[in-house]
Amino acid sequence: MKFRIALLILLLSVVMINPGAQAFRFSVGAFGGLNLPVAQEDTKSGTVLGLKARIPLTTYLAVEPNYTYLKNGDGEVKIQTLGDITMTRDGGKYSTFGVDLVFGGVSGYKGFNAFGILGIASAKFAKKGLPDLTKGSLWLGVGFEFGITDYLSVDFRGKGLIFPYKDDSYGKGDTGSRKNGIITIGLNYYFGVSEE
Amino acid sequence: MKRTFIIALKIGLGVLALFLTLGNNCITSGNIVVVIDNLADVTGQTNTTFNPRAVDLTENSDWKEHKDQLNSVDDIGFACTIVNHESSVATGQIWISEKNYTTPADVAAHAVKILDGILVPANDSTSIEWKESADYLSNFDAAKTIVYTEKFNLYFMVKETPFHIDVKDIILFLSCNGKP
Repeated sequence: MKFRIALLILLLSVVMINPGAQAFRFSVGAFGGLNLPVAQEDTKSGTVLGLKARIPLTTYLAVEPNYTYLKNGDGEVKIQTLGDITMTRDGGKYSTFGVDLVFGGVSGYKGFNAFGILGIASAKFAKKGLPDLTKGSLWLGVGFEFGITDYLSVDFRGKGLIFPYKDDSYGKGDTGSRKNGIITIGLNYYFGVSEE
Repeated sequence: MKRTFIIALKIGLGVLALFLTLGNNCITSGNIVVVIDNLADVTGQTNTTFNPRAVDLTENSDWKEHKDQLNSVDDIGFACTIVNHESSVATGQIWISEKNYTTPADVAAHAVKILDGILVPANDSTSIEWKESADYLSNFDAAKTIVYTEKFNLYFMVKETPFHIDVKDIILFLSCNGKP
């Protein structure tokens, strides 16, 4: 596993780094939107909110430290033996702190940019009545950014969270995961100077 | 156009490398809810009538369908109605064990208490649903190791003695991670 993570970092470093670095700019932003649990009968769709900063490393590569809060909707089950009444259960929530590697159009200048997103995070899953789970997690996705001016932009993102975990008390169990997709709209403000 | 292609190629390589770091089972797993709703009503009375409700997950179609690709039990919940026949408030409890005990004292000494604190007024009843049961849930980690044995007993008791209760409409909910 460590070898494959190292391979991932090396691969990304080789294919992404561009020696033509631009003037230093960074941005801060907030985002919110829809949270869509994937293949989870015990949750429903919910909301997502977050904060992020963008620090460009090269023309096409940036890192984004971020905090994301995802609230799952309550899971529902229809009970046939009680006359089809519906019972619900708290769907749980995630708090994630992480860093995304953003590659593609990351300059944030006025106009249209598209980018890919790969990230790692420390994610805590909390659900009423159960012990909290904190695990290393992965983000991946794509985004589109519209620079309204050289300093203000709106972005739209589709991202997926993979929250892997293994229950060591179950001998037959493998590593499973919960997965959530999010669709967000965000507002960003850029600081720094331009060399364009 | 060439720039767009290069960006797309980079994204593809990144995603491919990312997926290589994860196992196949991690990618394809999801959560299912197994509902055990065929448990008969039960009466519990101190020193006269005390029987558990036996659960055999191997007889549940959802469990049977997913058990070979099961990674974990992520949540345990209950729904039930407790009728208190005593003239004092009762604190309802649910205990779990893979063994069979015949007295409340044995259950309290050896089983795992999974729900506690369900207050039932004197000569009255209280119903709890799946969501509310989380308010009373305890010892989840110990309880799920018993669930993994697939055959276990549920004991319905009251903290105070003597007690006399009926428990109706018993439903057990298990949220499991595995191949959906």
